[in-house]
Amino acid sequence: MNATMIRGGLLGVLFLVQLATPAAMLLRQEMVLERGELYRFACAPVDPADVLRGRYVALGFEASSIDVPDGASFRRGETVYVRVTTGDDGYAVLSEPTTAAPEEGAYLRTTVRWGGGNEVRVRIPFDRYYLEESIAPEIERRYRDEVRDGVEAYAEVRILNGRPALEAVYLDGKPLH
Amino acid sequence: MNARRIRWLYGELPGLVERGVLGPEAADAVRGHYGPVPEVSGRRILLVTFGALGALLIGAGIILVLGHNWEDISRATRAALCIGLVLIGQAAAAYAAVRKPESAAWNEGAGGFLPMALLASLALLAQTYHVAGEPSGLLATTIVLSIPVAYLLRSRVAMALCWVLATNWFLLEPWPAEGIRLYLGFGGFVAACAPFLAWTWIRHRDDPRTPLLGWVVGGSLVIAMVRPADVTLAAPLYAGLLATLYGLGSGTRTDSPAWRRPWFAIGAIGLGVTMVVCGFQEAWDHLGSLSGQIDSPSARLIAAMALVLVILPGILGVRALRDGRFGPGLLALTPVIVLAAWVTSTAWAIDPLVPAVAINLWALAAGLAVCVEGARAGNLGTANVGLLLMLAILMTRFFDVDISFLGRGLLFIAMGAGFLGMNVLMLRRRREVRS
Repeated sequence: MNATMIRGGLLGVLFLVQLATPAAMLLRQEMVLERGELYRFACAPVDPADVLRGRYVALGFEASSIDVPDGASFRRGETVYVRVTTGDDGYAVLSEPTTAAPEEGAYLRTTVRWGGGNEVRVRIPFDRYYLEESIAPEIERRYRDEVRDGVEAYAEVRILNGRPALEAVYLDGKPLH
Repeated sequence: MNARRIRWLYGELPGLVERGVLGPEAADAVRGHYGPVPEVSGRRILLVTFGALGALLIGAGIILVLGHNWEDISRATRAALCIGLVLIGQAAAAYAAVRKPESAAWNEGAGGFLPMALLASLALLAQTYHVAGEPSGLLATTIVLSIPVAYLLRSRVAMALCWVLATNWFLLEPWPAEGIRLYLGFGGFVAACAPFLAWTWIRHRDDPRTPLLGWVVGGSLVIAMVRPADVTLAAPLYAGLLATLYGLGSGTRTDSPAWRRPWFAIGAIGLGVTMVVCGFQEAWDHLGSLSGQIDSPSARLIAAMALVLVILPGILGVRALRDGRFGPGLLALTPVIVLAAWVTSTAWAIDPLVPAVAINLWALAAGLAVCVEGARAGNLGTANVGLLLMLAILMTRFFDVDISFLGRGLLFIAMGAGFLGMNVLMLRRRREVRS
């Protein structure tokens, strides 16, 4: 077996791994959208200082702030799991973070943003809604102003095995775009 | 021996034969030993450069076009685009590796395009499915998938791209609870690239692509150092890194132009700048206590890194001093002085004037040693570099110290006259030696 054959063989293996990476990401997301349980997450006003980065709308969620018992301590950046249930108002509620994945029910794998007293804030892993660049600034401005004025806004998210897939964002009952 | 040196040698042979230094048979033997002069490589260099540049621009353009986030493209079409992009890049790489293994233009072009195609594909997927998270995640995946491309295509462009992406990843990655993973990640990346860099340096030192890769690697390391320097030990870290680059780069031939000695150039210039900056009192003010500076696992890891970066060039510096090369020796030992200044400032809170004066004196001594060695060797460039370092130190101190404009003006004139005088003397001496 000469050097060219060995090189060709190694390239072949590398190409398979390279193709498998985006393919796996694609299949995973499609599976969540296909089979994941649907939850509605109520949107919170976005800090106006969070201007549009790139071409997406930055989303904020009320559920990211979780009440925890006094004395519970979480480090910034710590990986945690939060169970997702639906509250009486129809919106998703996140439970107290744990360090192990729950054995049943929907949950999200995320990281702690901030913890203090009896509150902890977790990163919501679907806080960006990508749009075509020509329309994104206008939609972002409308979203930010109307949510701040109390207009109802929520994101529909499917969750499967701790992985979320953002399906759509609604503002005043209508899709954002 | 590369084409340029062979051509020079052949140009010298007739004159040497005429002056009786070599006999005609010896001159023929030399020609027989080195053979015909290799074909002019200028056209090849251009081909390789334009090929690589074209591939990089096309890759970057694709990323930007996809970034527009076309509304009318369905998810299925986007999925096909993702996979299709990667397949096109892989087809180019396969063609280069199997059908054109000796073509630098093809291998560098494919090596530049495939990583960009991978990054574009992952970015398109993230955009399609609104995947949140920092861009550092996409960069990390692209780097891991692209390092083997550099090895298999022997592509310096692919390796340079990996370094650019890795530096961006290192700087963009949000600070996790345990910063050690970040440094281990970058350290792992450096270790993965080390065999390629060593191979390039040892086997292809004369290839013009090698120094270009050296510039990218050296520049990336200096830029990446911003992150740990922000935590603690900024001055010793920079001095250590630059002295290490200087020491490693000193192994290159001294008759090569500066662009062919990237680590030597980055290290020498960087050390000069570091000494000038550390010569200010303000650099040693408000450093805080030693225990406060090294109070977390990541800070302790950074301190260990700083120690290694001080010891490595220190060993080279001591060796140089023992061999009588005072200029390179003092430059390579600069991190030792800077670290000593930093430790005494933080451990004992001494007057900031003390370390500043020590660094200034050290810089003047190093500059003088480099200047004298350059003058003795008849190397105008080296002598001027030493003189420039001394001038930089003196000029910055003039603006620190309260003396009149007249005094400053006269001193500047004296320094300029000294600079010109030394150059005129050396040029005259060189002409005498030649004639």
